Amino acid sequence: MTALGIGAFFILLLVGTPIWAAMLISGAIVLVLDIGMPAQAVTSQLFISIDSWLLLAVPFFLFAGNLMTEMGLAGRLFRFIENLIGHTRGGLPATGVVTCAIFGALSGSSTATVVAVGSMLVPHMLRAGYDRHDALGVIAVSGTLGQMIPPSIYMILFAAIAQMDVSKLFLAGILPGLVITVLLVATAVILSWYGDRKLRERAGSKAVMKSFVDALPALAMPVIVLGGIYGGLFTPTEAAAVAVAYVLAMSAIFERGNFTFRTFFRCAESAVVTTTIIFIILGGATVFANAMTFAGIPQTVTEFMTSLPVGDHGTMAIVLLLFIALGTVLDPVPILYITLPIVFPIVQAIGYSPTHFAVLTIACMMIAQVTPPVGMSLFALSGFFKVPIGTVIRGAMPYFAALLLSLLVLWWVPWLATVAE
Amino acid sequence: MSDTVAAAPLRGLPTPFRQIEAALSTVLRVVAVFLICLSTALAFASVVLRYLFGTSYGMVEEVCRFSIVYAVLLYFGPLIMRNAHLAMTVVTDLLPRRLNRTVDIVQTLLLAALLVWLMRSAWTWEAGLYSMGLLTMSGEMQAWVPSAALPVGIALALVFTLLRLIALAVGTPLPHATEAAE
Amino acid sequence: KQLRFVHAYPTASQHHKNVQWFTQEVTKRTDGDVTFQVFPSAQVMPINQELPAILSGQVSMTYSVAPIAASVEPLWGIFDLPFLFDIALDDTSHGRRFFDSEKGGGMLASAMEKRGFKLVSIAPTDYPSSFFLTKPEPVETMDGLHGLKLRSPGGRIGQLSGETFGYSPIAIAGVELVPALTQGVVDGGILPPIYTRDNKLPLKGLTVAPYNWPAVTPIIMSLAEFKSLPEKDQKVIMEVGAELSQKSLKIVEEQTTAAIKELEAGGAKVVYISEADLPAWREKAQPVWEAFVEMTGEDGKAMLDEAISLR
Ligand code: NA
Ligand code: NA
Repeated sequence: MTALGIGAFFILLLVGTPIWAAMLISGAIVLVLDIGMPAQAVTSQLFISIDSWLLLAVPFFLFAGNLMTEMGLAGRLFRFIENLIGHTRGGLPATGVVTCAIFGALSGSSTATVVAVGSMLVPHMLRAGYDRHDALGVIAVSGTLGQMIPPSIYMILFAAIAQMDVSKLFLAGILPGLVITVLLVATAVILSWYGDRKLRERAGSKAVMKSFVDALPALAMPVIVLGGIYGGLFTPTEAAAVAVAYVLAMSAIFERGNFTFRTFFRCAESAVVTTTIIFIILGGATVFANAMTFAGIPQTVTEFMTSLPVGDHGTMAIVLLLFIALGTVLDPVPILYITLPIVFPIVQAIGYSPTHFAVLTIACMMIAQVTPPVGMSLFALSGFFKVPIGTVIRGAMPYFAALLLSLLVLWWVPWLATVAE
Repeated sequence: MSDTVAAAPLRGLPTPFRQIEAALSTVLRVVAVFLICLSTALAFASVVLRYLFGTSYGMVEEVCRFSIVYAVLLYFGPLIMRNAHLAMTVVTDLLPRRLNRTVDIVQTLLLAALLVWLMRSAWTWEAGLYSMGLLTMSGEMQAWVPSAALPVGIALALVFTLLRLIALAVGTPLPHATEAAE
Repeated sequence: KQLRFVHAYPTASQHHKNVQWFTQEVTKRTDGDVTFQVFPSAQVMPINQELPAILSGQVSMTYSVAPIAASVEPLWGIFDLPFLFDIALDDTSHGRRFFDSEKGGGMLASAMEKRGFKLVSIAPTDYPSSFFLTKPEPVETMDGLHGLKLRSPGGRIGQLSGETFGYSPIAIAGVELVPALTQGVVDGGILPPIYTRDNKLPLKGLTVAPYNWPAVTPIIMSLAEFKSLPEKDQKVIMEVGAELSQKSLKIVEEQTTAAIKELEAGGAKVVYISEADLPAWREKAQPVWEAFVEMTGEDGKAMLDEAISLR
């Protein structure tokens, strides 16, 4: 019956059943038919699993990120970075990477980032003679930086599943986030060495200064959010609520033109939509994961994996490859919920640092967002700019390679993740 | 993850149904937006309260959580209507258009059956909590009040699923999961 | 018959050791009739969802904790009452007498049955909690509590205790406890010594006193599942439960002093509220006791009187 449940999951997934329903149905088959639980024990999970203080950070950070984008603070950030480095060779794509990195430190969401930064950067790059795919590619990959650079929705989910301290994970992501940023900038510069592009005129120091001052309200946000968490002012969930209040206050003062009820409503609704998508999957995944646990699957898999004669690094290689393979066809949220209950005990059993593993997992989830056929960042850009998804993928290739390289670096230099502990 | 699900309008749903769908969606959207704002405002207020007055209330934390739970479960229905839940459509996308539509109808029927089953068991659960008179952790609220979000949300989801089924049967092209997610 | 036993404590904790002893004894004494599948470390669900999960039939039993049990049966709030139980570092006999008494443990058991639970055992895992601060200056007088932000379990009794003694009770979810203490979101917490030692909490100014006793940890089972067992198996479960109750109190008596010594060796400054000062603290707590009676009515009054008369 357990096999039937697991089999049902793959079949349903394959025929395009919504992921939450596929997980819920197969979990219910195991729990009700095999283990003999009453139906209400399954259904109540849909409520119980999302009723969590820690997970409140998800809607709050999404809300804050939407407000940043739509009310204009993100634009100030972009203009400052562009004035600073936009004139150098490869400067425009590099501006995209750096803006995504900083924006990532403000927002928990990748889609918000690619749309916000993409809509500002792409027209500039086209005018300067870059191809469309170049412009879209750099944004697609850089947009995922926000999941490594705190705050990060995936880290919140990881912490909730593995019962770890989110603030520790946030801290662990900073240095790896910088490493990836540097590698992506390097890629942008190398790519721009070839081909004839107009270099943007260098901005005068006055203009740089002015855009810096304009960008201050946006630049101060990571300081307030992260500083507040590590300075002991508030917990990560509270920090997310503070971030919303902060963006609203700054927008009310500096972006009066965009500070409208209509925009506010749209941002709130968009946060509800994304949260609902995530939390409904979470409900189904909880049923699925509990079914697996009650049926003893994680225990068996852990025993098997740790007995394989491939060594600790071999085991980790298998885990990472599994993540990347699943990442081609699934969204990171269900991947985290399906695999972590099984994989996390394995990682603990072979003695990897949970923090190091969390960083590697997040890097794989970044990759998942830009690997076809299912990659949310690819979809978001192709949808927003009305271009075929293949165009985005073509431009993303070199940056994708940089992302893979980053994964290897982060894997072999655990210090990058654990130094903050 | 898609943050910007386009509010894809339903083309061609017979008028009375379209009106029901539109009215219900609007009400649920407004309520959900109100709830996320309430939750955020209270979470922020509890930080302020702690610093200005040195107090904190377990009840505030609960209202923050329960507001989001209600927002999510109330929005569940509109999400189904737009087919905006994540699905792996790599395979079904390869099917010819007509076969794809058949698959979609079968899926929606299956979803309706699942929701009926969920609805029944959610009701059993809710009735149990009610009859036992359990309180929430803060001890200030009846436990059935937050958990009522589940049967209510599922019931609404079922209504939207049936509406979607009608739209499919009438032959309206509906947004694809991935298209909707753009 | 296999029972699913969940609990939220790590496998290295005393809680888990108690669970292992309990489950092994029951299986042995029922000649393998009753076996267990134990899921520790909250791997299936967080602690506050265990009791609802028992009612919905998802799991059979749990090793819970008094403040959680109080969310389904307010009478458990008696263990939150300040200075009600006279527990000394090496003498828990007041607690033992109360658990064994008809109007104490017996009343809790029958109240739980009305809610669909079988109370199998009250098996505490720690000495009572008091004021543990992150700075190395412990609270020595009642006035020392004024204005402190202390993490305490939620609930109305906890709130009222704070108002009465002048500190701010801050509700912080379990997962956020360590960061909140480390980063100084709160000044400390209402915490017990063994837990503090085992989890290496960053606390340096400890006041040791039987302030309240949330570490009263009951084993709670689904009444329906309990009744579905043959009578002889029911008897074994209750017997082993009673033995665990005795055993666990003995372990607390043995461990408390050692835990405090270790905390001192780790740099904590520890003070004790003296026997002579206790009556004044207890006097101060009266409004909280009265509020408890108001909340729980006749039964609460009877339990409170019993606890007082068993001193
Ligand atoms: Na981020
Ligand atoms: Na992908």
